[in-house]
Amino acid sequence: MNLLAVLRLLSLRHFRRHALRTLLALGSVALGVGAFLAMAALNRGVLDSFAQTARARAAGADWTVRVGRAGVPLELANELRTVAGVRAAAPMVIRPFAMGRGATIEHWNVLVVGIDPATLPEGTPGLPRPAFRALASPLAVLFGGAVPLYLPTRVAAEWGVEPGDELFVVTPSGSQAARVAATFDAAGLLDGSLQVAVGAPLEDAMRLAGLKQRVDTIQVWRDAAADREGVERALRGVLAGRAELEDPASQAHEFDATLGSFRLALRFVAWLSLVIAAFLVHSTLSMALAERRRELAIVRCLGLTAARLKVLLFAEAAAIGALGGLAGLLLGQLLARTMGSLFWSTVGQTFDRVEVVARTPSLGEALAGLAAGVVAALLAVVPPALAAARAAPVAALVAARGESRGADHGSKRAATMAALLVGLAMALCFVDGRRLPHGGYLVIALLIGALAVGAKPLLTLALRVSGPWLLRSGGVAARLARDHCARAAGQTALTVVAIALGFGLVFSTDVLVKSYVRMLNRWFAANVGEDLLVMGQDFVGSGMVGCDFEWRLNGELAAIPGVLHSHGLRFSRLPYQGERVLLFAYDAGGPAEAGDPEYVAGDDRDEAALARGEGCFVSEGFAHRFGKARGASVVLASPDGPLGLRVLAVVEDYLWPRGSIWIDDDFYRRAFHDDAVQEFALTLDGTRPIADVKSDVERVMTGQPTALVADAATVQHNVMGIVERYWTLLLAQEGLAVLVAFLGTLHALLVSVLLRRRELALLRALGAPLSLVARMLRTEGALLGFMGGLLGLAFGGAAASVALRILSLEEMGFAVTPAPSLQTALLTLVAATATGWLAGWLPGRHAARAAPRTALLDTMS
Amino acid sequence: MGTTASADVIFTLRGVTRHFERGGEVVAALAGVDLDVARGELLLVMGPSGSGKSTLLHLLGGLERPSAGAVQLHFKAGAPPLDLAQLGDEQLAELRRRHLGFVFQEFHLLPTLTAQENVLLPLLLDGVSEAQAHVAAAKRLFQVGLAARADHLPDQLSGGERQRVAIARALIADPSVLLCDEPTGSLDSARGQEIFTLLRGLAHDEQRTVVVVTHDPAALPFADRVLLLRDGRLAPPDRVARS
Repeated sequence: MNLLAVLRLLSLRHFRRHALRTLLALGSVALGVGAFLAMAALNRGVLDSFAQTARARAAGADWTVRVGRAGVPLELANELRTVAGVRAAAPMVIRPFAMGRGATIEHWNVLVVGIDPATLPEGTPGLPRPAFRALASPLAVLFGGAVPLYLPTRVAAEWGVEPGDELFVVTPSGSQAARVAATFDAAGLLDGSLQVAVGAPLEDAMRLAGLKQRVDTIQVWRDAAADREGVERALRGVLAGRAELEDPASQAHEFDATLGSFRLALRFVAWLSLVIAAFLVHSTLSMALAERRRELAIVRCLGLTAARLKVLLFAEAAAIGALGGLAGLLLGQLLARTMGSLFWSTVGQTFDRVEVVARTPSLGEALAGLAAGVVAALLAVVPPALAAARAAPVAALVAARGESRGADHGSKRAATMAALLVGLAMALCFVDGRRLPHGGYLVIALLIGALAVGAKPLLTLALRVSGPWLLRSGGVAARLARDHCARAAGQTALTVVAIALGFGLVFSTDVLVKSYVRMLNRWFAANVGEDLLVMGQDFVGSGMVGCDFEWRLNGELAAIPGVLHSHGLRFSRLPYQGERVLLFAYDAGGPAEAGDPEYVAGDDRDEAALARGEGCFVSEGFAHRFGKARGASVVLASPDGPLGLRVLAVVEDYLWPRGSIWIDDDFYRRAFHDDAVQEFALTLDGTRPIADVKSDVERVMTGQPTALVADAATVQHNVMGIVERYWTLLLAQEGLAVLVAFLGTLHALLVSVLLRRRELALLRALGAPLSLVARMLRTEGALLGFMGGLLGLAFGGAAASVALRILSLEEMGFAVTPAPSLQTALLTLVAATATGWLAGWLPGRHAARAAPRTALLDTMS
Repeated sequence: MGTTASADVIFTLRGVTRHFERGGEVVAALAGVDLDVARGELLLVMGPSGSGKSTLLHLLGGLERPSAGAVQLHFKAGAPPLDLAQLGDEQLAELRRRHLGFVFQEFHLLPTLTAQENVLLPLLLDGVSEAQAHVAAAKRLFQVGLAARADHLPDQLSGGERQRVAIARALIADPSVLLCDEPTGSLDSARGQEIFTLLRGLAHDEQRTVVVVTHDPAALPFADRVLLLRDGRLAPPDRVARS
């Protein structure tokens, strides 16, 4: 066979003649590939941004030594320098502060980087040596008590300040005077692109942070010739559990962890979008082949063998896949940019100190996307191509004269198969996630399989049952629409599945979002029993980093009339087994009115033990991630050496996606020599109005201009606002999925009309008015939309449950109870029905316009 | 019955039966048909609807296989015959491409291709280069009197012209057998006469075997032989003559 010539003559000509439908098929591939590529690029861009920020902050160091928020003993730097192969060990303070001029705070979250230039290695890439040398300038002493600050030129210009100008810095002990010592062209650690960072002499920065002989990190550089692993071993030996040694890039985990559930949902939606697109390609090509049955039968009669027909169809599919994939590459570039900017303007706002790296799909991703498009198209065409090749030429020719009908046999087999797949999926839900990694994705794949296989028998049953009702309620048009769906159940089922997947995705995303929000609300209500909260204004937005307050204020707050109890809360992120976990210190001996933990394993007696400093509580996620059940031991690095803690109880806690460890605040201060807190939580005794108590609290906090005093409900509202902002990007994904579903439905109905030209022409010839034909097709679209919507609700609900119960457990260590909303379910159903109706409108007009005689003679060519 | 005394036979059918399942019942389209078709004859197969005419044609063209009996094709006199029921899909397709030509009542032209492209399609399917195929197609269109309409699409042609394009397509590979299923069924009588004149010329002048299934009594004067099928069986010759 002269394949190229035949392709050009048959396939290309067909595609050109049906340009709209060809474009729809190409569009399906392009949308799927584009969405997939955009998600890949966005994920990579986010991770790269985190990694780049982490690297820049490390100033090219090989290791970072940390002990969470408590800080590292300063003298450790000297010990580390004694290790053979260590080139330099530079203690640093890297902390955000609020700053201002006069009496007004003008700048939040300004990163003050305190450095002793003498400790920095010579010639380290990225280090602005001249600028750092300026930190040691004798001019600094002329500032007297004011802290000298060294501002990148760009920052100074933005703030409108010059050397010599006065500023103030808000510290845990109150405002401190500061002065602009110099400006310089920043790079690396103090690069202006890291949002706002300013330099300060190490000792001044320690003073600002309230750190006594402690620093936030010690950055360690090794000699280029030194063996990295050997030096690392030696460093760990010197540290002896007093601090953790980390790869600087691992700080990226901390940013990444904050996104936990969001990225899980994003990935879930991206994959499902790809599946929908692949299914639509299948549906589109199947319908196209059904329409071309006559043409293919003719060429079979003219001597085209079944094998060559398959080659021809696969070549066509590959061409559609490749062309659609190429268009998807372009679309992917565009979507990657759009989603990137959407991401950083919504979710990314949480990470205001992250250097944004915009990524477009890489060559590898582009090739993978292209290959995915081709493979999806090839896989999609396998069943219809095999069916077309199997059909005897004459049988196909005869069938082509009338409407092609989906084979109704095999319904029982299909129903049984679907039931089996659902059963298998349910069985897998009970398999331990650690024994079946990524089992959740397998369960969802089985559910999609069940939907694809079971749609037809379900549809057949539904149509059989609904026939009389449709005739009564919708008249002849509805009955004719229903009859056609029942006759061509195979093709109709394809459309229904496409709609079900599209709207199932919408519903499942809504269930995901609402379930997480409800879980957080419930947790908040159970755990935050306090009435008033005092925290830095940047606390919530910075992901629980925020500014520090002195612990001594807790006593003053507790002494305010009407205050039953005051918690001083400390949130510190600690390196633990390659992750960053949250160490949460609170007064475990507080009254019950201040809130009780939600126990997964354990009870109130364990909290008494916690108050005595006998161990720790861990979150359900921590227990799952690190395999630490009640009674197990957790060892943390602390300034005095390794700190062993017995797990007294496992509690429900969603403070931090990588898991949290709770300890008593007195115990924390003793073990970590850290007297700072980030939040005070006050429980009132009800003897005074809350507004009065709040005024007194604000009075106590007068010296802390960054402090925000708010009631628990307001804080909860703000927290949930941030959480909900995370989901904005999902809406864009949902929109894409609905668009794909709409295009698929439109295409399916268009082809359906073309396949039924004779039937429709006959109706017209028998006197059916134009409006009846058009109404029949709109009704058919609405019917398909409604059924697709119903199936979509079932599928979406099940998929969301799997994501919440299995994927969430696998990836974050806690399962979430699904919270489907009846209102959203109804809206989804209405939207699916309306989409179907709308998709039936265009083919309806098309069919109604065709003259009966022309349509009847159309197949006589 | 349908056998011929001539030794120069191209098709031999013996005890050919073809059953179909329809609505759970077995229906016999052909029941024990014995038939010889002579090389170069124009054979008319007539009979009422549902008598098995088209099925017979499909069996001769290898588009269907008999439920029982044998359909043999003798390419050359004296050479061993081909049993079509024993041939595979590939071999049957090759047979249709190179040795058998089909003409259908509904023309079955591809609406997206011009007259010339419709005609040359079988050659492309056979691996012939486009240039050669174009030359051959132009020649066949000239032969059927449509050289001037080569670049027209089917819906720009009259019914008679479409059928002539279909005949040119059937002739493109220079087949020794032409199988026509109601070739004038969609045409008026004048166009029908033209088509039968053309078919008779192909049989008599070019020594091709032409088997025509038709209801059209106007075809009778052009036929060398007429067979009557009724309920899947061939009627005796005297009944053919009377009818």
